[in-house]
Amino acid sequence: MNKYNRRIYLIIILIINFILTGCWDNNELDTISIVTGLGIDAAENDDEIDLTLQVSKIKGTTGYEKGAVGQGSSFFVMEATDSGILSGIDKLEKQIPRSIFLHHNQVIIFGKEQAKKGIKKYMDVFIREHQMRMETWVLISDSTAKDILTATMEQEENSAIGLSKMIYSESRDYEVLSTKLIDLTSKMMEKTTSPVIPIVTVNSENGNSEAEISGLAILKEDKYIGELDLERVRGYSWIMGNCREIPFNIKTEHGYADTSISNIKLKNKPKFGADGPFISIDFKGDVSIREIQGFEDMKTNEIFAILQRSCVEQLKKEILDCFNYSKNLNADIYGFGTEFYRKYPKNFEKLREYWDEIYPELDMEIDINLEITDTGKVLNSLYMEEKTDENR
Amino acid sequence: MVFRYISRKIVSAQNRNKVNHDAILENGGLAISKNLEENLDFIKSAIGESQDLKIHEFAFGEHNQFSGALVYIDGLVNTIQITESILKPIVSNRKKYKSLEELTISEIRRSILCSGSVTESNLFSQILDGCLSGSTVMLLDGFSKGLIINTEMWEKRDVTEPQTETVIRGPREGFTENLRTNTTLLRRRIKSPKLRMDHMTIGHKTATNVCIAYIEGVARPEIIELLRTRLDSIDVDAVLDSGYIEEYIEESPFSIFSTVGYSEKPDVIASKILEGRIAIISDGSPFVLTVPMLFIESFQTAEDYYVRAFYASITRLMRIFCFFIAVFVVPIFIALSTYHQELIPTTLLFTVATAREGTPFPALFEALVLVISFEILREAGLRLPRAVGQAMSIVGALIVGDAAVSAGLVGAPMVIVVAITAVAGFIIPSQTDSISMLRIIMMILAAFLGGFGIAIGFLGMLVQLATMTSFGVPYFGAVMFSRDQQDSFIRMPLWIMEKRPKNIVYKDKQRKEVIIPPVKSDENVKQKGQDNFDE
Repeated sequence: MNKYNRRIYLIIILIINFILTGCWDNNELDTISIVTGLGIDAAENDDEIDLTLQVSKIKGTTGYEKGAVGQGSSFFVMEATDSGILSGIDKLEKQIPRSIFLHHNQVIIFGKEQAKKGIKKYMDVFIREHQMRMETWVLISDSTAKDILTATMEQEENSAIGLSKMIYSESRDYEVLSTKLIDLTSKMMEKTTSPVIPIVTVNSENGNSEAEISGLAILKEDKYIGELDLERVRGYSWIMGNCREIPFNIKTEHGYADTSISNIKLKNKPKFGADGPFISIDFKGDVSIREIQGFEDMKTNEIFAILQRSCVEQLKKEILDCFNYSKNLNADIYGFGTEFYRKYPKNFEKLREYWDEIYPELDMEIDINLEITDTGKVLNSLYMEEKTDENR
Repeated sequence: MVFRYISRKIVSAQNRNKVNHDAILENGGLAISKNLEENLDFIKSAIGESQDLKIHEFAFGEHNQFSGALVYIDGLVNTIQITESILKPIVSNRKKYKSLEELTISEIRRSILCSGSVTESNLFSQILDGCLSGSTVMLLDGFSKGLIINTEMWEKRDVTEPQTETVIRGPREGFTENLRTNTTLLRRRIKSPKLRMDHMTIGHKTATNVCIAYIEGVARPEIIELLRTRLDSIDVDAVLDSGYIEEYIEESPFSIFSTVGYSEKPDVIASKILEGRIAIISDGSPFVLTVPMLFIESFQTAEDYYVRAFYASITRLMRIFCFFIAVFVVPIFIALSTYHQELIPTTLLFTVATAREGTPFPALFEALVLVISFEILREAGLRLPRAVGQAMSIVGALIVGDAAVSAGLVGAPMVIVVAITAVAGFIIPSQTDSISMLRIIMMILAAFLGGFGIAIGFLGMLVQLATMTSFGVPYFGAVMFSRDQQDSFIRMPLWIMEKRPKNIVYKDKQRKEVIIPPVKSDENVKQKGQDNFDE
């Protein structure tokens, strides 16, 4: 008898547990406002920021009559000026009937003005707060963050989602063009490295806007000091690796060729030479030819030799151009300091102290090894000589 | 309190000794008298003025000096057999019996009757039993003994293809309501002399014949003994289906999982018997029970063994997957959409949120409405005549579902999720009832506690399953790492499974001595085949 009673009491107690606690932390989907973008701009007051939230407006569809099922297409933007990010969000929460839901935030955008002032002190909340994800893209706006978050794009009405998709697809070719929150924070923690953040610009034309990534902003410590344009981004990208296939076009005196470089194997070795530390770079890659113009009445193997040579030259030029630019800014965007730390952990403490003086003097030795492996569907062009080298 | 009342009832029922309810049986303990009239009167009073009770009085002997009577129930007996093999021989017998001393009961039995199964009895109880189960009772004036002659014959259903457990490939016979037919179907499949069929009678009023079938040496004696004691201790007045027996012999009566297996197909039961299980055949039910039952048996079907091993393994894995779908998809959907929106991919979240917008009820209520209305529709479809049932499902599924979505009462994703769940649940017919209950429990847990609740529910389910036993055998048996794995999540080829299941079988463990892979064709044969082909 006791046994059965005990069981029944246990069941009742368990049920009461559920009922009395209620639905703790329960948020039905129609009680939350999904934030898709978060922007931080410099406010008039130096201690404060202008916070912009892009919130997607979920259109109710009862039944099937509307075609809008599938994409919360429109959005609204909320703004607040406050000294902290979360306090700003709290302020905004009071203006709308729903609670603000930050988990699905796609992008964090800093205005250029704010980036010049420094972004470090606002990074804390992104690391600390549970709702923030470390996979969120970080961007710097060419103008203000608000400009981007209020823009409507052609394909995606919601600019934050559109941007995040755009960065995702860009990052397949140039991984350097995408910076996640976690990349940014880890680079900030390496004292010698200067983080880079993609810059996004918006061109408004008749209602719809085109957002594009126009380069990389270079941050020294946490302040904007300059930017790499897209050509230098490619030069930067060669060294940073992590790219599958990079299109690369060359102009020689004989003609024009469009190639792409893939299978890139890169080794950068920090070394101490006679005149101080230098970086030796060993670059290997496969060139595939995509398009050839000119080179009339030349043998194929001659063309290949020319192409290969000019590829190497141009590559070297691009790499050095970007490297010298970063030396001028005294910003170690490549993380060479960290490479030295990995190789010479004992000497590094000294090195770090003087890194700002060492970096502008740093030398680079480049060894480039390219091989033409793929010529597409044909070997010759229409106007080339038929005869080819036996070995090819 | 209601609970206390019920539990007191249960306990007192457990403590109570077996009582004999039946007055007739007590009276039936009387012995037969020598007077035929008295005996017939007693039988009449015991059975009552039933129309189907037939008493045929007759006289026989040289000068018709002896008188006797045949008592039987019309419809249960073969009247031709009574005429041909009882009445005709006895009436037309011209042997000279001078007195009662010469004519003894055993003499009649031996030299006059032409019937196979005849027993003598001097107790009314046995005579009444025999009469009511289709035998003909012969009483003679001047003898205090009666003859019970087996003349059973009644209308019965033919062996047909079962409605449940249909197969594409495999035997199509099904059990019938007749016990004898069912035992025949088993005997025909297992011709071993070790196949035992033990009979017993359960039910004070129905006196249902129950048969337990097993192979000696393969089934464990302690399980047989346990089953016998449980069957013996059943104190009930009626057994109308094997389901009655199931409830009395299962070990976890309060669990939502069934610990007794059942099947309508003789080939399935035969294979279970060959694995060392014991079958319980109950007269009047085409469903035969098997014990002990393991959880994994719910996912095994007859066809698994008739098609090739690869496909059988895939479908079995799919069934297990469907069990999880059927139980957990709705709870997970509820938990994700009310607690863990961060786990839904962004684009999907917008879709779900769009559908959610404007629906008036919380997610749990929405899901409960759909799940319960699905159960209602299912039940209605089952009970109605088949032709109407189809109309039912169209009205229910298409019109109501569609209207509910377009009226904005429920969201379209929820309808999809519940529909998938419902379909997945049908894949495992023997667990459909437990799935329906588990689903609702999990849904409530998910709605109150989110993902944490689902985890608790899942753990609770596992603990329950792992602690349960069926006739002393762990219910989760073949899921554990053991040789039984070869026939649990996947089915190995038949030629690899050389042993019977470990937990169930007794001494005779080997199905066969060694693993012999199917023979590869000889080179000569190959060559010959090639030659034929070339010609």
